[in-house]
Amino acid sequence: MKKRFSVVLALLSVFLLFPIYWMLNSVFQTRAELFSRPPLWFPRSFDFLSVWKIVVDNAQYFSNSLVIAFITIAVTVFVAIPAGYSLAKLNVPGKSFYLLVLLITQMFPLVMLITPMFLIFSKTGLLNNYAGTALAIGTNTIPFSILVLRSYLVSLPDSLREAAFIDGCGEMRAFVRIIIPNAMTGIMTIVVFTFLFSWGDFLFGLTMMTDNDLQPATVRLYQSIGQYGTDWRRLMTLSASLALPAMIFVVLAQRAVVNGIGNVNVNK
Amino acid sequence: MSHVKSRWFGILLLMPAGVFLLVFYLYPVTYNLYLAFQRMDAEAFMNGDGAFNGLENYRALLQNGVFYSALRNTLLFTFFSILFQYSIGFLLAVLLNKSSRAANFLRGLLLTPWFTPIVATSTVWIWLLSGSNGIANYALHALGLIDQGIPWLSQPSTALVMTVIVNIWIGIPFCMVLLHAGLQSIPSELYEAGEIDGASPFQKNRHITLPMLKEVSAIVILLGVVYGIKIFDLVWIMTKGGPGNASQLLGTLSYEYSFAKNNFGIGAAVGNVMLLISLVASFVYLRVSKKLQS
Repeated sequence: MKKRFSVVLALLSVFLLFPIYWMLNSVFQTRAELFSRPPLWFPRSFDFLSVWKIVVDNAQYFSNSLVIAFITIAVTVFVAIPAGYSLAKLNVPGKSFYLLVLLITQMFPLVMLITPMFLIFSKTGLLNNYAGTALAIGTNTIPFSILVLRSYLVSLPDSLREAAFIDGCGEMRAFVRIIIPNAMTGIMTIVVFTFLFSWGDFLFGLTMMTDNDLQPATVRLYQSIGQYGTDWRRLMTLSASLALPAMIFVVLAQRAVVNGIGNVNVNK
Repeated sequence: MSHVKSRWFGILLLMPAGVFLLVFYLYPVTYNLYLAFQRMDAEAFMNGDGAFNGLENYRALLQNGVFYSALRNTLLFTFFSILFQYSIGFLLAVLLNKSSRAANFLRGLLLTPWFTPIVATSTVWIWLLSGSNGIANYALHALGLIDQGIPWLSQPSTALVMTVIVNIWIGIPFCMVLLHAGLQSIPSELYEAGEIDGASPFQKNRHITLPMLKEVSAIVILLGVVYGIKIFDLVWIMTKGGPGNASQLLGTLSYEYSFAKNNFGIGAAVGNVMLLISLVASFVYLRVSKKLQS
C-alpha cells in the first residue's frame, strides 16, 4: 500500500517538474543537440557565454519588466496599506459593502476590462507608458493586496493601537509609527505577490505597450515564438530568465507566498 | 470623540483605493456596457467615436457559430480543469501531509508550475508538444504508441485537450496548497478517536478527512470555476484559439474581436457575456461560503 503511494507521488512529481527540468536542460544545448535522438538528458557543456548573449540582447525588455514591476509595487503598496488598515481596524461606514466589492473584483474577468481600458488609454496618453501599464496591472494586484493585508491586520491585537494612543499618538502617527512596522510580514506578502503578478503579466503588457521597445520581457518572449519559430534554445533561455527571478523570489519568501495563497480565501 | 475621529481617518485612508476602483473598474465596465451598443470598428476608432447601433453587436455575435463553440469550449475547459486539478491536488495534499523536511521541500518545489510566468510555461509546453521535435512525441514513439509525430497544438482534434492539460498542470499546486492548509486545520484528536474505533485508513479518509474539508473544497472548486471562465493567456499563447477556433474560448474570442479584427464593439459584447457569467459564479460562491460558515 505504502509503496503504491510512493509510486503515485513520484509519477505526479515527474509530471509537475519535468517541463521545468526540460526548459533548463534546453538552455545549454546547441540546435543540433536539441534535435538529437535519443535526446540529451543532461547538457554536455555549459556554454554560459552564448546564454548570456541572448539575455543581453533582450536586456531592454527585462529592464522594462522591472520598471513596470517597480511602479506596480509602489502604487499597490501606497493604495493597499491604508485601505487594508482602514477595513481591518477603523470604524468606517459601509465596510461590508466595500469588502463585497473587493471580493467581486477578485472574480472579475480581467480580459473583459482590456477592451474598454485600451480605448480609454489610447485617448488619455496612457498607451506606451510604464505607469499606465503598471496601473492597469494594479486592477489585479490592488484589490488582492487590500484583502490580504486586511486579513493580516485583523489579527494584530487592538492593544497596539490603544498603547499608541496612551503614548499620545494621533491616528496618523499610530498608523505610520506603530501599525506599519508591525505589519511588515503582511506587507512583504503583498510585495512578493505584486512582483509575481507584474513580472508575469502578459495581457496588459501585450495590449498597452504597442511600441516594441517598451514591451516587457513576457511579451518579447511571446513575439519571439513567432519570430524565431524553432530556435528553441533562445526561447528556453528567455523562458528560464523569466522563471528564475520568480523562483528566487518565491524561495526567499516561501512563507509569505504560502500565506498569500491561503489568504485568497478572504471570507474569514 | 475618538470614535468620530477614527471614522474620518478611516474614510481618508480608503480614498486612494476608492478612486482607483472608480477609475479602473467602474469606469471601464460602464464604458464597456456602452461600447457594446456602438459600431466601433477600426474605421470608427480612427475617426474618434462610434455610432449607436443598438443590439447589432449582440445579434452578430449570437448568429455566429463561433460564439457557441467558444462558450462550449469554455465550459468544457473549466469543468475538466477543475475535475483534475482538484483530484490530483487532493491526492498530493494527502500524500504530502507530513511535516518532515522532505515533504516540506517537495511541496515547495511542486509549486514551481504555479508561480512561473505563464508565458514561460506555455512556451516550454509548446516545445514539449512540438510536432516535429518535441519530447512528447519522442517518448510516445519510443514506447511504440505512435508511428509519426503528432502536431498536438496545430490539429483541431487535440488543441483544446492540450491547453486543458497545461492548465491542469498550472493549477494543481494551487489546489494542493489550499487543501494542505485545510488538512492541517483538522484536529488530530479526530483521527485518534477513529483509531480507537478501529477505522481503516480508507474509512478515516471517507468519514473524517472529506467532511472536514467541505468548506475548503467548495472554495477551491468555485475559485476554479471563476478562474476557468476568465482564462486567456495560456490559450492565446499556445494556440490563439485555433486551429480554426478549435480551442477558442470566450476570453480569446473577445480579445480576437477587439485586437485582431479591431471590432471593439463585438469584443465588448463578448466581454459583457463573460461578466454576466462571472457575476453569477461569484454570487453562488458568496452564497455557498456564507452558508458553510454559519
